[in-house]
Amino acid sequence: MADAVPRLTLGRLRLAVQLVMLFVTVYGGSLVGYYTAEKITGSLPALSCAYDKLNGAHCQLITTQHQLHHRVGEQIAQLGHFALNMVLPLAFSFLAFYLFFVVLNKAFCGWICPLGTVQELIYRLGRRLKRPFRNLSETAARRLRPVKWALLLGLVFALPVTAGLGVTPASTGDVFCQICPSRLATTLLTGDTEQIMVRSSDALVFVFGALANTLFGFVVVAALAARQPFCRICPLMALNAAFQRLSPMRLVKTESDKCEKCGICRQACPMDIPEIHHEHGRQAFAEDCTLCGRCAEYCPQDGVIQLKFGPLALFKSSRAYYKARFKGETPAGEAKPLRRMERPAAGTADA
Amino acid sequence: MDKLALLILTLCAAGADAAVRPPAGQPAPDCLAAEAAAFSTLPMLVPAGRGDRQGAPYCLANLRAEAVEVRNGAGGFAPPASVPVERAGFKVQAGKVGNYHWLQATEASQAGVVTASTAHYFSNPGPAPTAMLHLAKADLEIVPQPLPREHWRYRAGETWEFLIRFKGEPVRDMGVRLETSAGTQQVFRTDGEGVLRVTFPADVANEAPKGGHDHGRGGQNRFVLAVGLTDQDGRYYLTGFNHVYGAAADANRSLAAGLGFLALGGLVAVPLVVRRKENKNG
Ligand code: SF4
Ligand code: SF4
Ligand code: SF4
Repeated sequence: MADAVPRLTLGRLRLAVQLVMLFVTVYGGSLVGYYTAEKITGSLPALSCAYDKLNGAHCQLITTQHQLHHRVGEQIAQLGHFALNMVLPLAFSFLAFYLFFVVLNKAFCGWICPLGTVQELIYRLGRRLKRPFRNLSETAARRLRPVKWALLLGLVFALPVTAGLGVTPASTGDVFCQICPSRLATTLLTGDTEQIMVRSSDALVFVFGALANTLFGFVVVAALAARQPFCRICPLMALNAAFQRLSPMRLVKTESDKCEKCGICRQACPMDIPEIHHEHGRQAFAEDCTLCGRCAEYCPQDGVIQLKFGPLALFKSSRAYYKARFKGETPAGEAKPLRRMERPAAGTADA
Repeated sequence: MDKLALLILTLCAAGADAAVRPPAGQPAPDCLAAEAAAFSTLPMLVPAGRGDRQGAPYCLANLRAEAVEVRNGAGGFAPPASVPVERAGFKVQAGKVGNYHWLQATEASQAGVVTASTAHYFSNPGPAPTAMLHLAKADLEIVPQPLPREHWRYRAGETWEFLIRFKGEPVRDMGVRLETSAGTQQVFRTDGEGVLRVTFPADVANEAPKGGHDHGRGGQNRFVLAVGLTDQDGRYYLTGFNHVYGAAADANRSLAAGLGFLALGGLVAVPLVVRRKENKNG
């Protein structure tokens, strides 16, 4: 009996939260209000897009780019020197960001980000369409990591400042937004096709637009076979990683001698994180973790992986839960054929 | 949470802002020359040169007033600030808080009342302008419902709503005149609720974007909307609302290129999603 598939799995709870948050971040403007000042925040630690006319919140990356461009770069160019108070507005937007972040940490990625959810939904579709499963090798997963830091430092921090200073063209002032796939995903979800048209006003802007669409096209198709392809290089993941030790919400793994031969947690991990398999303690909570909790769901050892908020264990791995969960879905996200046979109606739909 | 940040910012700004503010010294615009060159004879408050974070110069066109009322929504229902007019010009100053500023000048005479109004946006923390717009600020009013959000603007081909109010009551089935700096003249009518739906004409020249705060959006035109009526006592009211509108959403944009690059990206990912032979057999 203990093996019966639990009705409310962490996975189902997460999917429900993701769908609600997809609605809030993509269409929630009708709930919160129309003007920027009425949005839940302009400092969200998830890619909720300011270009989406119906959204309920804006992401921290657009705020950061604008403040570095206009409040820092342009002010320095105008005054000829740097003053501490130029970064005050930026400091306050980061404070607002942190007030959100401290509660959920990187669960903003695993539970709230609309682009994260869209990629996961496409991956689910890929399972239905029987597309192959592709994951990154341990080496590849580690090698890819610096890309997101480079995008954060180069596109979100440096180029907006140099644009403000007049060193690089003005169009580099919001360069990350110009290549951001969430801009395309969320506006398309509202039926707005404007963002998908590439701007041809100048050569550089055209290049950024072409890059954005190519990247988005790649992400949409790749997500049928690989989990969260864009998240691997997302600069917001890097920003969130910079703060991840400053929140009581975290992933905890205790040492167990069974782990080395097992590694199911890594198979279940949508970010292919090697550390969740090989490390324990702080190291297991790696910079790419989205706090989705799948590793804890699929860990067959009682209490080895936990999602914790301060001293409170929100979810603990357990053998009984693992067995039941495994019956419904494999670690890689394939629905089990056994269940399809049990439910003829669903089985026909799958065929 | 942002409201909290806004509060802290307000408290700190008092000390912080002084050092950032550059010396005031915008040259006084020659407003009379600007008026002579105005594209319309309707009452307007016309931006005179490029403003900055601290303030923006304006000229009065086609009306005379000693002062301009400025509200920024941050003071709730506090009375508006009165900014003196000198040589038909004035400068709206950014406060520490307050983003949308409603500017309004009134010329009253025996014959009637002429009002010009516009909205100016400063990139400051501040409340949404909804309450400020809702507030009755003149006898005859053109109330944007809503104003374009930060980083947006009115654009050719888009339809935006305005409420026409007289002494707080909607004015039904009333003709309202639109004139643009490209020479378009059109009349729109309010509906049974006093709501006017204005579709901005496609008369914006396809200019190359200028960069900076323009965000690569290209050229823009000015427009003025104006409505006039006479009350039972024979007193005449004329009110204008003027602002700018930009090129259409798809100006300088290519759908074909957009779809082409999307397809290219998708194509690059295709090898990932097709099953390799050995997988199929294995
Ligand atoms: S384009 Fe991307 S980075 Fe810019 S506001 Fe939208 S989601 Fe944020
Ligand atoms: S890493 Fe993924 S889930 Fe997190 S903000 Fe970026 S796109 Fe969203
Ligand atoms: S380590 Fe665990 S919680 Fe983190 S992303 Fe991987 S599966 Fe999700």
